[in-house]
Amino acid sequence: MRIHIRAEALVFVYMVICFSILLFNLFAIGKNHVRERFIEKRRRQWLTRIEQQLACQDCSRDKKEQHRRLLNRKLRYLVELIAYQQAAAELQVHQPEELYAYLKQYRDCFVQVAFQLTRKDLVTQAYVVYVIGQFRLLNAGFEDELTRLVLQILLHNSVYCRENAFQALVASGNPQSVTQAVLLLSRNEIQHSQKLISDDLLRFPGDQNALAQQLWQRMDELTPVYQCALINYFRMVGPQFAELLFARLNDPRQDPEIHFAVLRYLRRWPDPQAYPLLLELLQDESRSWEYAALAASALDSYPGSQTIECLKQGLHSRFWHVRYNSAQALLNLHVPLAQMQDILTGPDRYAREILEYKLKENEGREGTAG
Amino acid sequence: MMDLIKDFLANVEFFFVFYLIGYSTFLFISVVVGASVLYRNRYLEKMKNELKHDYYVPVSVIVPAHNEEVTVVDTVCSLLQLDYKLYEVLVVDDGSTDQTSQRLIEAFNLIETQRPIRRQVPCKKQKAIYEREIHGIRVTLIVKENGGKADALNMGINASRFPYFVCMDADSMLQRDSLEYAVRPLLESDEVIAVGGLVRISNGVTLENGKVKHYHLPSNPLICMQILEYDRSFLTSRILMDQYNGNLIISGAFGLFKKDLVITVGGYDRNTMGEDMELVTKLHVFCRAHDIPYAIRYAPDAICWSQAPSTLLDLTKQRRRWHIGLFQSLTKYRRLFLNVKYGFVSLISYFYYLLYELFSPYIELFGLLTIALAWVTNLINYPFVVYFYLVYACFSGVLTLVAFFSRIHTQNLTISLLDVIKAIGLCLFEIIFLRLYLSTVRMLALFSYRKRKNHWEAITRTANNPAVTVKEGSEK
Repeated sequence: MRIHIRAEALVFVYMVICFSILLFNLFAIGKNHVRERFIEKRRRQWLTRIEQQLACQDCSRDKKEQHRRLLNRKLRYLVELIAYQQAAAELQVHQPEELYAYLKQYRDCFVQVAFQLTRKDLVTQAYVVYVIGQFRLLNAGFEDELTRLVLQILLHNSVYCRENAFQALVASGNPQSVTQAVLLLSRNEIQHSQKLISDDLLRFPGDQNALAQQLWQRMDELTPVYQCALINYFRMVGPQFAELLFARLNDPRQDPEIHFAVLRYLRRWPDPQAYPLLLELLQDESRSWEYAALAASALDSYPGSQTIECLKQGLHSRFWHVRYNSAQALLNLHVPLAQMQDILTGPDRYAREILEYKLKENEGREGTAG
Repeated sequence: MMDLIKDFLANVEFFFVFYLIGYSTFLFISVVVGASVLYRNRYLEKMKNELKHDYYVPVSVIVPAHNEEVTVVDTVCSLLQLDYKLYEVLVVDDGSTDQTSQRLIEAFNLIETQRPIRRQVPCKKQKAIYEREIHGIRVTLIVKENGGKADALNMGINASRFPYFVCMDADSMLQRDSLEYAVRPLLESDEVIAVGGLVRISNGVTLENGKVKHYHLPSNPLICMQILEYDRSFLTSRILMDQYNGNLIISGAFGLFKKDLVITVGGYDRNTMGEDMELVTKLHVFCRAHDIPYAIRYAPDAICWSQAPSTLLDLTKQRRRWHIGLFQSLTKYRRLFLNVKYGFVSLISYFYYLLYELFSPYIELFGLLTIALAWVTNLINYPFVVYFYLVYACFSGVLTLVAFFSRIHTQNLTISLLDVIKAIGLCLFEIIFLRLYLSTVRMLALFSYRKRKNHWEAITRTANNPAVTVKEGSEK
């Protein structure tokens, strides 16, 4: 009987907690409703205030001081910052340049707010760096205290802090701070998605070439993961790294993933020096199949009779991806059908099938386009 | 003799008290954790703590279909409207005897090709392949010999072009932003090998261009009860298991997997009915046995809308299939039973599924038999039995409502007062009647298990949302 009473008691305790959660649900719905109405009201107020500021760039010093005091007093509260950010984001769509000029004028207020709010939890810190990035508040020099704060947040154990901080640094348009950020992430062996890094770098608003050059200078200090992310980024920037990257492809000490990223680069930005090596890689079965498959793809940027012969050889490879990429490359090179007859009528069923499939697919695509 | 019976009943009583405390505690913790995670996700989104990028991971969406002529075109239409940059759609017609393939070929003007398929995981032969690119998305239809759902999924894996694949059902529709949410965990950590999406019941929901336009509880009480059950049992328990990387199930209706690892483990097992659970359990076992750092995540914001069985017969078939699948997976990976090497996956997840899912119908039957024995021997305390049952039913009802309202609130859905009343009324009904019925179904499931291996269950389908249409030449 004693056990019965205990079991009941436990179930009752659970039930009371569940009722509390139900009440919490109701409370949270009510609280959110009130909070959203409050933020909306504040957003409208901020919108009017910022619009007034944008309209009168030559306002009296008193008015500007008054606005500065208001920013200092209000924005240290998170809800006010949220409302402010929403209002400014609205203006950012239609009057971006005016808004950035206004924000620059009151930058000291945001620096103060950032230092106050980043003492809070990681979620708030990630939000603050998001605001810093969105409003490009990091346009000052590298030694700026706000940049240092963002670099600190970059190393926090939260993917959102890292991502928002990195985006903020990229938005600054300062190649030095972006390079510093990549170095810090790599040195601290912090895992951050390669895709996010290269995607963020492409959003750099300043001179992409200058950024790419700065990053290249520090390549050797990075882990292979970050090197790959940068090579993927270089691929989207331009051909200036072809020769330098080719040297890495020739270096057997480099990580295979780096070699693969270089092969992709050399497809987009062909380098005559790389041509013999690409032909060799396609035929070399002693390496992993990825080399031959990527070389086959890359060769569609290196037209020539030797390429065609080599790709036709690739169709006989025992690896599916090599055959597939070779067939695709032959079609991308617009090789005449007559030149591929030996494959289409040849004894290798695998080579024939993949080429026939690709030819038919190409026909279908051209038919649709026509 | 009487003393012996008394002793026996005392022991049974002792067992059941602990059994129920264990179950109540699990449910309680999962609902509390589930609700708080849902709230936290919304908070993170509001605070811009999210990975919102245009450049994502390329994904192949595999749709195995068998006699799905009613829904398959709508399903593909909804897939063509996803907010995602790089993906392909592969429909695998697993020997349908209706017009499934014909409907697709006509609706999307698919062209027959001689595409060679690289066989990396076992599956039956293809009969024909059709392809076409629609708004930059390649749609492929593979017509193959009948081999079961797992076989069709394996064919999809073999034919897929991208490094990640999503499996889904042909009667389901992905919400417009679902792929984006499913992929986010992959960007958070390189260790993520699979992501489960939230499967929600589409009956009663109006979707327009992949977005929810109207949400209300359907008029069919059986479906309403399933909605409540999904929220209490599936949503919250998967969120809880996700906290310690212990999910043993990613629903076949919507899961994302890293292809090379799935190929390494041999793809879907064609000899099991619960191929979705078998694959996830196999991935756990493989990664732990080979010391591969991995994470299997659950993304409750990646939503897939799926039709629930609307008749008791269809529901019976579905649950019987689920229970057989559960039995097959748990017995195949019995090495997970209380094996410290496998951590919480073994000590909590496997143990939970074994005790409270697989054995529960038999334990409940045993309980009923002992009540009968106590009644015969006049050793039953009627007021206490009724009282305890009511307390337990109320407790479960409250938990159901917490899970339901938390989900409704955190997913920014609004429901009418009538729906609120319906949910409150049906939650008790579900606990008292539906659970008892499903328990009986599960108890009998294993008796017919040999007969039903590798067969697609025929379940009555209704057409998916008519609001989902794709216009030729229109922008994606």
